[in-house]
Amino acid sequence: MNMEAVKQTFLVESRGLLESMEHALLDLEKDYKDEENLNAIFRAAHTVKGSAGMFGYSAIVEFTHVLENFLEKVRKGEFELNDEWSGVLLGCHDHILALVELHAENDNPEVPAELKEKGDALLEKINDGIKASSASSASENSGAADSTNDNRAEGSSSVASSKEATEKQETEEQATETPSAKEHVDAVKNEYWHISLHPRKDVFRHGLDPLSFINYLEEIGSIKELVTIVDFVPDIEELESESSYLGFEINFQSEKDYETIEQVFDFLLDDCFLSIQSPHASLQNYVDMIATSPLSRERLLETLIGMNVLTQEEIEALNTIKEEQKKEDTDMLETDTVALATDTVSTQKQEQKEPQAILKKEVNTLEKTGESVPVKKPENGTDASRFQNIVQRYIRIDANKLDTLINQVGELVITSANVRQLAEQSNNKNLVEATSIMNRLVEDVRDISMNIRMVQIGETFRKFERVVHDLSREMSKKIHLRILGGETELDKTVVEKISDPLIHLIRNAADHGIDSSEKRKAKGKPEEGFITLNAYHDTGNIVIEVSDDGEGLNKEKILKKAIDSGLVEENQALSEKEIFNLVFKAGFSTADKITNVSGRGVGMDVVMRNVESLRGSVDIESEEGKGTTVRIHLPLTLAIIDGFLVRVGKAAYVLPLDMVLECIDMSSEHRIRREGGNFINLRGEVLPFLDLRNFFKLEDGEDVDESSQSIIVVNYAKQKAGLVVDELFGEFQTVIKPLGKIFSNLQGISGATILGTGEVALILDVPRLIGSAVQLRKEEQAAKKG
Amino acid sequence: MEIKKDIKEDKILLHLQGELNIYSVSYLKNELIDVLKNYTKIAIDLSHVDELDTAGFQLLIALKRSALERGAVCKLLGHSSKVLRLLALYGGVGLLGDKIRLTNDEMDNFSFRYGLKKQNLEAGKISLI
Repeated sequence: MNMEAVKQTFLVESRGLLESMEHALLDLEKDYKDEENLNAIFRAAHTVKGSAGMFGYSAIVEFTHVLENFLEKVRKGEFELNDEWSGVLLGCHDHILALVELHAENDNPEVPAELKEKGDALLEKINDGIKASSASSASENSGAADSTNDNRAEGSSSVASSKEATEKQETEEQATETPSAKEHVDAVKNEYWHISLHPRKDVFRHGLDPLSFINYLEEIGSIKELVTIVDFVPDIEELESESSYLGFEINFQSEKDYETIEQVFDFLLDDCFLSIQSPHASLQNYVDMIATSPLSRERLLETLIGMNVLTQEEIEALNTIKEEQKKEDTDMLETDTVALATDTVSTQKQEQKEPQAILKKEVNTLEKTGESVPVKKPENGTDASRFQNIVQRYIRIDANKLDTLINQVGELVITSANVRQLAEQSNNKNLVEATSIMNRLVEDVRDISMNIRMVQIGETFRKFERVVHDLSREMSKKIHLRILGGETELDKTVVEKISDPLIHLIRNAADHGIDSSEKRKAKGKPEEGFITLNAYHDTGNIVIEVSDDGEGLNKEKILKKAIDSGLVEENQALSEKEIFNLVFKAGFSTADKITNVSGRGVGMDVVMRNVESLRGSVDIESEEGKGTTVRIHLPLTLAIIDGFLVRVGKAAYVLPLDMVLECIDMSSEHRIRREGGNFINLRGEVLPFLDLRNFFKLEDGEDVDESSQSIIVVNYAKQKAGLVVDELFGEFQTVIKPLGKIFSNLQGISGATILGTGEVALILDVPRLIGSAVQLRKEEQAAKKG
Repeated sequence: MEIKKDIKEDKILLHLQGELNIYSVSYLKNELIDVLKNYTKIAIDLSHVDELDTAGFQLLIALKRSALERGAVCKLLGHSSKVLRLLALYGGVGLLGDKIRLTNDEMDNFSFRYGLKKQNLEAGKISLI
């Protein structure tokens, strides 16, 4: 196994863990005694420490070790958190993240002095906290504080000491978990690790061979004995040679810790039953393993005795525990009194249990031995363990590979359009039929591959919780973030690029939008302000709204500022919308004073530019005293769209199909009703329109057959307009190719595509065209009035 | 994977050549099913097996078990070093129960620390003999 790959796993997992730690910290502010969140924070710190130790990243281990000791105190209720400490812990989170990122670049990085100072300051604070709690709980647990000091003094041996701490903790936790079985927690005599590995049937089909993992074990220790379990191998005639029927019981000698050994099987976890017992593990652990193993109790015990993992006396002790365990489980379910000791060990077990349950069903050759699987209370499946289960359902792919796939699919779409055209020209019925089937498949492939790039926006939204949290601290306002529609999916590239503009908008909302608590109270509003992030789909677009319930935009103020800075003429008549849109102009800020957060007049224009680069648009709605909503419209995807192919003059154009509402004949009736203006009466509604021939100033000298012209009614961001074209061709799979730099100032064109014939068709920038049509209509009206 | 067959009356000797792994098990399995139908004395020469993986090992186990149940005799011969490596790791020597001749080099290379005791492979009766 390649260490670089394992390191990448470490980085990705640590980032994930730290993210859930951050969420838990933020959630914790609502209730500092919430056990689930406390446990999630502790677990994240603990696991990051463990995996960092495996790589020998002592800087991370040293820091997290102290933090872990402190969290342990908090968890035990010896120290109470408050807002101030929450800030310290968030600082610790940031520090660990910074350290992890530092190690991402380099295995033995120099910690920059600045970062080191920060870390030392945090450590000092935390050590104070530990001391404070130790003082309050007298001599109790002074050992933990001692080990902290040892750890800091020794430094290099921290990995070993953290391992000790882990083990110590495991036994402690074991004791608290099953108080009534205390007399049986006698450690077994076996001085080696015991690993029980039963791959699932389809492990080979997933391209995995247990052999490589077992081979790797030999690199971190020594296999003392391995028994291959062949009980489930069927007769050769029933054998599915590509299914796996084998199991492995392994007695293993190693100095490494639990995490390191478990990590060996990282890539196999989804596809196997795995149970790892540490040297001298408690009998209770073996009880759990036996109860959940796919192998029958008798066979497993027989094997374990044969391997000298368990002695005859230990087996007898096991049988008595089993009896008690049964009773206990029913007790637990009935009374709910057992303290919830959700901790690293029990969640690990919990995680193992779920795949086992599935496995149990699958292995039907297995005879039920009568005893029930110990029932864990559902509360034990905390957010964090659920999170990890979700993570295991996904595979990580290099984004570049995806991009290559999308590119190739794009080429495939173009080529298949070409094939289809050739087939139709050939008049060969069978060929036409075959190509039409192929076309449908290509469309499916296109949809599926585009879908792979789709990610839920919720992840990005949740990142802003921290932003809002910090802002509300910084400005001593009470602000909460409300997230709606987090499950809305959009293209990964779009998500990445929209993150910065959203931060700008949130900062703006927090700084200018929401008033201080006093002012809000005076106005009869609730003291706490809300910023709402909302995402939803709308005609093939995605809409993201950032709204606040603050004071709203001040129209007069904006107008005055605009006139002062020469953006607008003094007597220019502007609609409400136009006034609001002024804030997107570069260098425009109405904030009276410049704060750290915003008010420098950069920001909104950056938002606008970013969104436009994604072929999207921004608009603002605001009501004075009630709040402001900034609405961002974005296309769902950037690479391939369903298009609508039309002809104007000799050239072909493509409109995004999602924006096309309907097509109507440009009848003589419409022509008459034009009344000279650029609008028609569409079922009683005024519809501004744009004659593309005029708009693009096409002078091909051809006589236009006016009777065959059509109007395409397009819709974008709640505005409609008609576009006059010469001929309609219908739907067309469009692979968007960007236009070169020289075309960057082209109005009304957003890209190009290649037709089946190899010709180039331009993609119309419908939002801009609608804007132009509306503008033309206004100018006409103004001219009439004038 | 190539299979050469030497046949004498009810005896068959199969020479396996190439990779005995997930890519070839399906093909070999079908051949072995045929062999089991027609012969009661089967020997398999593994000296030219240059790769053995878990799927291949599993097939050998299934073959041994099926032969036992049909009252046939099945022996594996001339274990190549790739075969020995896996048998040593998986404790497969006792499971398959064949005599193995080791060269001095092989004695040095593989430890065979465990899994050497002969076992009864018949389904449902797995135990140490």
